[in-house]
Amino acid sequence: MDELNYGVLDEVWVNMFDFFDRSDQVKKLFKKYKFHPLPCAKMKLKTNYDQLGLNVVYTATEFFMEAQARDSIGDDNIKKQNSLGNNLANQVEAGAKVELPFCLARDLHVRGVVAIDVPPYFRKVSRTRKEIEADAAHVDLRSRSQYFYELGLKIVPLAGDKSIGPFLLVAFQTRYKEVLVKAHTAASAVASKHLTLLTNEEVKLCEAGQSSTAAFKKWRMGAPRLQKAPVLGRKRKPIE
Amino acid sequence: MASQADAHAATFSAAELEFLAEDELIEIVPNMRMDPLNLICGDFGPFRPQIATQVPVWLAVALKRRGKCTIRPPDWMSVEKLTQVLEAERDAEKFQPLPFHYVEISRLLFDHARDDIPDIYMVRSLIEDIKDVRFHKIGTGLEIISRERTYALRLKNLSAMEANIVRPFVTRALQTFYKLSSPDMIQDSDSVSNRQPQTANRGPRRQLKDR
Repeated sequence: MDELNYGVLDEVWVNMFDFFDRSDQVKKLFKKYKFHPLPCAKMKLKTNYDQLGLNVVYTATEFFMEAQARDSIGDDNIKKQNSLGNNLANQVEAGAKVELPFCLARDLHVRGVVAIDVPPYFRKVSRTRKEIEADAAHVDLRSRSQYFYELGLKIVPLAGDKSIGPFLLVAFQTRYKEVLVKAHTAASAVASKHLTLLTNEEVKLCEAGQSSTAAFKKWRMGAPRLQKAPVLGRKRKPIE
Repeated sequence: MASQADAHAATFSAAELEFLAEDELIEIVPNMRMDPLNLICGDFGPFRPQIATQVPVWLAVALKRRGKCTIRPPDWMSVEKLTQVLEAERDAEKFQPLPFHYVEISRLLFDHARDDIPDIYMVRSLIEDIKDVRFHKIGTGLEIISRERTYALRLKNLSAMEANIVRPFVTRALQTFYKLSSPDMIQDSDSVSNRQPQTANRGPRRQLKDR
């Protein structure tokens, strides 16, 4: 069996395990978000990870998105050595299918160690695609993935499936009209039911519209002319 | 000028827009005598009884509250003019030219100068109707950006309050469309992805204040 040169990979893995062992905070984070114990190199934490030379930082939103999007991936020549650390209980055989957080899967893919399998709702022949072609506005994308559009955008360069891009665009174009109407009307009951079908991106869009409309109506009904600035009232905590 | 609470939206709050609108000039008829006021924003006065003079709206409201003047409603705020504008709004696809702060100024005058506006109920309902028609047009206009690749949106003759309401929605929507349409461009070659998007020619930039 060919042994790939894991020089760089070893170093990264070792550093990550050191970091993982040292940091209770990281362990808690993983327990909370139900990660596989293999840590992700890129995270934004309030620890001194800079010392380990991990200088790539994602924003918190991307981090959680990538953590929650679990891909099933096919391993293609991966061989982890036992010497890498005590936390690694299993060895992964070549050709095995493993679920990993997206951030990890992408990094391994970039190193040419794994091949990524597209999630079922993005595949060319899938129920999601058929539903979107039929009536995109009422498809429950939130149940597929909260980060449907962002994940799709990130998968396109990795999976090499060029049809995902236009598919996402068409889906968003159709759903956008529905969001537009709902965002600027006052019917909150209908809107809240509709929100459960929307992905995070669409929810933010809807909320942006709704909040500005609500603020305008409140002003029109007679908001007080004197408002306390939000900066005031924040007291500094005394240094003890 | 966003309040710190909703920094992500980067909008003005309605009260802030009203504050900006109060800088517009309006005509008043004082009923007292006063020397000229030399303020940072300009000199106003002298004030003589029954002699009309132009002052900013905030000053007009302050004097009115003290019973020192009557406010003359602006020309555009008559029933005839507003009826014309309403009919034109309903017939045409474009927005009719209206004062930039018409929403805020009309509200200020309704609150503080109720007795100075003839046919106030008619004027009020006309302004509400005009607002509704314009909002409906904005909605139709926003649907268009989903049909083709849009980098910038031009809404001519939009007023301040209307722009403020749609601003967070439109900016987010445009950003999302931009992100989603770019993978289509990157088919195989890099030359396509290196091409800079041409922003739409927005024409001359609008002067927000005539100084």
